[in-house]
Amino acid sequence: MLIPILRNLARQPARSALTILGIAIGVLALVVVGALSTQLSRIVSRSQQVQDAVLAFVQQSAAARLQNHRKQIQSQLLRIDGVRAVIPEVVVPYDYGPGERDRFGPPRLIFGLPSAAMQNIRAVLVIGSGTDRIGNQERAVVVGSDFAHSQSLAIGDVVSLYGSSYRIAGVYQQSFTIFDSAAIIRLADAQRILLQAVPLSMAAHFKPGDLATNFALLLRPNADGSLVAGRVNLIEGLRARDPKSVSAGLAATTRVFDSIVYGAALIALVIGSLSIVNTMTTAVRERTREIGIRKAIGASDEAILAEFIVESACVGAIGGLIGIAAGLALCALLNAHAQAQGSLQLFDLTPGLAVGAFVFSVVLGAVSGLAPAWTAARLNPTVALRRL
Amino acid sequence: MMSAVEDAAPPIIAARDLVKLHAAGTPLEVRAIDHVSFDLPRGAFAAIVGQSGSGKTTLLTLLGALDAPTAGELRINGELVQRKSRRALAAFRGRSVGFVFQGFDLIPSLTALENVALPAQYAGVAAGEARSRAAGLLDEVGLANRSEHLPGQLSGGEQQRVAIARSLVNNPLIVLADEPTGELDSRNADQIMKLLHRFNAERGVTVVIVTHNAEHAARCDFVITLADGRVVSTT
Repeated sequence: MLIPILRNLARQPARSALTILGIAIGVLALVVVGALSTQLSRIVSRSQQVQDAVLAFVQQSAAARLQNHRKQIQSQLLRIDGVRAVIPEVVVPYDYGPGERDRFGPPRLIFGLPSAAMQNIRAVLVIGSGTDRIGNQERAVVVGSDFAHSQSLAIGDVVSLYGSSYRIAGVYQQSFTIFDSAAIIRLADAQRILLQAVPLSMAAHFKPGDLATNFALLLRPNADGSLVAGRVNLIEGLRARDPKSVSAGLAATTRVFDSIVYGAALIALVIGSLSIVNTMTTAVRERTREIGIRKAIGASDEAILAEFIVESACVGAIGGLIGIAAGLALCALLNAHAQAQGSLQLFDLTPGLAVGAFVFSVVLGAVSGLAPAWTAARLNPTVALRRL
Repeated sequence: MMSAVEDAAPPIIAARDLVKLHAAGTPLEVRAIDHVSFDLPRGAFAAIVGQSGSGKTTLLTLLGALDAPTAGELRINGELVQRKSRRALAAFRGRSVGFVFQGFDLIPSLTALENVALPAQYAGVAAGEARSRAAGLLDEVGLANRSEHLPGQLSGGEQQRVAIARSLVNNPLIVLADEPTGELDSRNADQIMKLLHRFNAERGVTVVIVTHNAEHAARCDFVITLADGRVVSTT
């Protein structure tokens, strides 16, 4: 059955090619945005796990940082009901050198973490090579997989952070979190980097060990994160994000994003399907006499209906396969580009998504062919046979 | 009218007062068939002749159950044709009638073998059996070596031989041929007529042809002459 259908499509090669191209473009859009959505959902979910593991949801304002009250703040936070431990952190941007701003994806960051935080982070980050135990190693750095790949870094190599050389002690496996493009160093090293940002006239008043940009709170069992966040926010200069509202916000944002991108892709597919309707309507008109012949030799209305629907579904299937293949190629290209830049890979075209897109394109093709096929099936054979 | 009244066997085709109006009830109404009655015995080879517009092809479409008469009664092998549903008519055409058209009218996207097998597939015959029957018939019409060719790769005479093979694949009661030699040269036309006569004689299938060719009509058992939709003579 397939070969005669391909022969029919080959009778009008330009028209068939354009119709198939229309579907292929629609499917391409669908699988690429689907791959983006899948990966973003994964990133959000993994990032949520990281947040749950580290609880880094208290940020100090810039003004508060300059007040050098880290120890007082830490003891204030410890007094909050439900807080088990407070871990200071320093987070600074990696590099704003030439080309950094044009880079695709989230900003690359340097995390200065104490050993306690490093332990917590092991729940979601798995070391790929070397070690992440750098508590006693000055100027040692553990980097994410994309960070390492973008600069072809291996264990023992040296990378420059804010003018100082750091030795690569470990490389994490890909985690699909912000840590894939990050560098993690000891808190003390990061505090020294942070001190460089303080005006020279004031620097003498600071001890590096007193600096922090964030605080990770470890909560007691059964403590309510939302309540803790509310209490933190009563302290001047601190901003804590309610973990529940962060999760809800992320989920809502993901839903809105999905609605927009899937909506756009579906519009592209619907436009593609209209080209199938047009092609099949023209095919029925051109093949009216053939339909009459088929009826004369015994084809029932249902047989004619099925033949045209199958032909239409085949157009959808061919367009779908081409679109999925193009989508795979495009996702691979964009991921390779992102990886070369040290960014997160943002496209994950899963087998499920590819199969779903293929099935959808076949069904869409079949549905698009319904009306023309129905017209063909209902043709009066004598009227059809009069058509030359 | 050739009648089978005196024959013991019932007629394969029994037409009684057939009327076919086109655009009935409008100012453009045309009486294409006007009270036509005749019987044809099983195994007959008949020709319908007449001038252009006399109603020959319209009569053939009624006999082939492609169209329903406006009035009158048509029985094929004793079955009242015009009371059948669309689905039953399709099945009836596939099972009982074989068509051969002037312009060959093979399906261009199918090979010769696939074209011949198609009516059998529509009739629900298993694909293997349909192809086997088709191959046998192509052999009988001398085209075994052209079975995988598409219609566009065959000559007119070859295409018409494929069409004859296609008309016979379901072992029908009747083969209806609308000017089957109209687009062929005399040599190919003779071949086609010989084939139809051969299958009529060997298989006992009733053949009704519409023709303008007096020589071909003269070789038929029965000749129905139409003028303005009426039977003016039967021999």
